[in-house]
Amino acid sequence: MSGIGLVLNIAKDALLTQQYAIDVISHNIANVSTEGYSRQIPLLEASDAAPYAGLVFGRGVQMSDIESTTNEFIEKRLQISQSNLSMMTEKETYMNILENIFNENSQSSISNQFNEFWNAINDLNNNPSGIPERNILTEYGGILAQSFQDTSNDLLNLGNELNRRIDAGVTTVNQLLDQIADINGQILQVKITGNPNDLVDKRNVLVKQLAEYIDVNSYEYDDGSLTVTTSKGFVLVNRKDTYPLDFDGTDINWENTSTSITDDISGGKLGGWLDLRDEIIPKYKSNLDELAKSIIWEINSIHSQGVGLEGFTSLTGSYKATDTSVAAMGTEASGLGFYDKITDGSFKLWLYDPDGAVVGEATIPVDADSTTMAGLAGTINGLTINGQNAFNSTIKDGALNIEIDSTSNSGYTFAFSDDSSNILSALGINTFFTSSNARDMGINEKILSDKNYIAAGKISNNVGDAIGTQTNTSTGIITTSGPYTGSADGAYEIEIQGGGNFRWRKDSGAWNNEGPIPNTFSLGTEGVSVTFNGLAGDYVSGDTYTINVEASSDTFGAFYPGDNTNSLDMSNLQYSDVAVKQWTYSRTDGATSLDVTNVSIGDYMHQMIGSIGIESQSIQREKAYTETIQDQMSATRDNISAVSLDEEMANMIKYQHAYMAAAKLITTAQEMLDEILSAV
Amino acid sequence: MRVANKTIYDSAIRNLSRTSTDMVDANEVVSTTKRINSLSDDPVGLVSVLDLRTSISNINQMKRNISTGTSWLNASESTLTQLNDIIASTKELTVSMASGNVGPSDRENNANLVQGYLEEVISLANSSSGGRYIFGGTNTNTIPFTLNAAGTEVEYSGNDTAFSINIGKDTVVSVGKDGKDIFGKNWDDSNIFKTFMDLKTSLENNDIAGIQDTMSRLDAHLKSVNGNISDYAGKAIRLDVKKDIIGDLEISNTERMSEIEDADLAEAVISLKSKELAYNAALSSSSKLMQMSLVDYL
Repeated sequence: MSGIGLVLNIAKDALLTQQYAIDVISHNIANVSTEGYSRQIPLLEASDAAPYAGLVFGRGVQMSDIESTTNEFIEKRLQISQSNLSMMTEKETYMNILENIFNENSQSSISNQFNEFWNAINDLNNNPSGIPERNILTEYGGILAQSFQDTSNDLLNLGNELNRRIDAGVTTVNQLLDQIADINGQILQVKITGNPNDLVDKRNVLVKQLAEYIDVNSYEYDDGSLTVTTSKGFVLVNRKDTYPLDFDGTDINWENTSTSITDDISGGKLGGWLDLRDEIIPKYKSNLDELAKSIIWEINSIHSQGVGLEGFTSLTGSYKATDTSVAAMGTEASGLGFYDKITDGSFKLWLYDPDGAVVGEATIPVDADSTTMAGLAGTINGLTINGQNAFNSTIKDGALNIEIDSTSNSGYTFAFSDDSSNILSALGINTFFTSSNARDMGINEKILSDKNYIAAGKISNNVGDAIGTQTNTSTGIITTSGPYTGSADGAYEIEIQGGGNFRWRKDSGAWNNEGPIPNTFSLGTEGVSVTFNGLAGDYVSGDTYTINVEASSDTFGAFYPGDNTNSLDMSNLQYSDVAVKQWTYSRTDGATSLDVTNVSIGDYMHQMIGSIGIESQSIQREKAYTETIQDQMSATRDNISAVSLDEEMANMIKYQHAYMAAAKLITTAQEMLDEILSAV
Repeated sequence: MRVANKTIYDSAIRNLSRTSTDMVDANEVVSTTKRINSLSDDPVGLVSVLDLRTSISNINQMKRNISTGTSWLNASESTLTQLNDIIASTKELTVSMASGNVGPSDRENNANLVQGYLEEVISLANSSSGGRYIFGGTNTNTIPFTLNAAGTEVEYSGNDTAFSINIGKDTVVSVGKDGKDIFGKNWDDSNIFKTFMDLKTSLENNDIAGIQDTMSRLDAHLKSVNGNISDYAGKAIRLDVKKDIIGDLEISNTERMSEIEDADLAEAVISLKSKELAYNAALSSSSKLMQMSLVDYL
């Protein structure tokens, strides 16, 4: 090769090379908006020189390679920050929804309903016999229960929605894994002959999309294929093989086996959804349940001590046991929601005749560790109060049912008082709210059917109500104590007899002869007892002592329409401290609870609502932080890899001019050839 | 540094979205005039607001409770004042009837007057407030004092428990009364009704000693009724004081709540204006930056 031919050859190579360069530039320009595209650089080099005429001449230009500007390190960092960002974005979105569920700026917020409920109880205090007040209390109690139900259902739905999104997310992940494996295969092919730049870009985009869903690691082999694993090391893609994930409704399992990797996923949307599903939402749901449980129990345990405007003729407990005949009600085996509240004690059951007059009362003992529901029903069934065997008690569908025997005692009614065992509220008898969690909270059907059953008052049998006055004619030799529970005024007489014995009678009735003078002695069954303080010599045969007793104007066992003593107790609940649990959930450690005392129901609720705000705020901050990192990382990547049109334009001019010059070279060579030829 | 086109667009989008978010937030503060619009805006402040809101709601309820109590006390007080007047008039009557200048027929005539007084006293004893008897303890729906069938005794059907209202945490004030505390526990000389009945009988029977006896009993009644009036008055003052205290508390709570929850409107508007300015600036600079390209010059 020599002379002008060489020039022409160089010019031809130059033309082609510049054209290739402009090809690359146009590819860059065309992909200026392509996601994940890395700009390519034409690498030009001088062709190998050749010796000629004793000299070594360069032989023009050639394109050695098309280089991609991908920076693998940055791409990897970008994937990680993408995982974090999409996790935080999902969390932020759902925290926003949570905030709206507990919307505190609206009139219908739970805390407002609480305020209205307490106020309604206070209004009942002010007019205990008022039907409007009773209706309003039932109404606000119902609205409060509804608010609890709605909020709990919203949380439940949120959990279900997250499960659906996790399901869809796992499907997307598997699709991405297939695509990555597919591109791995293509790269393996292309790499043999050439440069898989665009395929690598495409794969990077896919891995980044994968990182949006799940936190992953990736390693590139020398042959160009990529291995993708979860950040905890479970292989997802290896060369052309995929190891897909599977969602069984609760857990995400690896490679369709039962190896759960649920708790290992700590990034990406899946990580965010799992955090929300297993930590954040259960926490608020459990705390809401605690709150509901606490208000239900506290109100019920007071309500069950009281009495409404009328007695019951039949009543069924609102809580059901699963084992009524063997398991004691105070044990978990009974299946009662509030079994742990039952203690050893007793309650009183009162019977009233058709005119509303007190027939009598029975004290029914409860042993937490041995009394079964069937046993209790049997006890009530067998009760005979002042000759009246008035009760039928059975177990209806797991709940205790008490009713008046309508054949033998038609028109009779009954009521309760003095429950020291908590059994009534644990069985849902004479209670206000139903259920023991937020989702099923409601108002006792008995109250819904007749508002007169709201127990604003109490049966007057306690010391403060029925106390009578006693006077005795002795001067300190005997003292008396009461209260006198008899229904009429009267007088007791005590007469000292020979031999240190004594006798007594009431209202000039028959004498009761007793033995030697004891320290204390109960005079009959109406609550009056006497203490003999004197020395033996103080008692002379024939001495008498008179004890005048005055009956209370409260009828023993009666209840009054204007009595608000029980509803006063209920309204005081808003100020009293209760014991509640505060739950936290961890995906690895499960649920843990902390006992909180010295907190009122309102405080607990306000703190819970505040904690949602605090958590949401910290998630917003974290999201803003990861967003900044992602933005910076993304800008760094773009500054290295993305296309700058200005740059491409400048390069285009550069190669265009080189192309024009090469063309000029051909013209020049042609002129040179023409010159030579014309000389021939 | 190399700046890619994508970087320019991305940063323009980011800046516009940030400034517009700021502007929307600032606008929400202005349009709601509330600083806290969602739980996360200021969770700590929000908890205080919720506490204060509950407290204010409770104060309003306590005001209603107090007003119920006040109406009971007022009704009782005015009833007892009337009772006091009747007893005082009766006292005057007994003084003149006990005098030797009055003849048996005058006494007999005035017996009817005393019968009228007695009926008036029974009616006062059966006064009600809001449809509920105020001197029957908590048996508020049953007439507390009735003349027995023989017309010889006034019987009490109320009970011992005084009706109470709640005026705050663990604070209960009894505003009703066991009627027997006012009109006499037993059917003896301490019983107001009995005194009137005895006086009437004495007048009918021209029994001057009996009239003189009732005179001293009326004095005792006056004393006890006045004692009861001042008891009611004392409670009314207590309720008034409580009402003033919680009224002040409501004002200070409302102020505190407003401080935490409400936006300073001037500040909020200025903040909105500055956010608007930032947004405008971002818009104009971004649009200029995005338009520039070497392409235009080739």
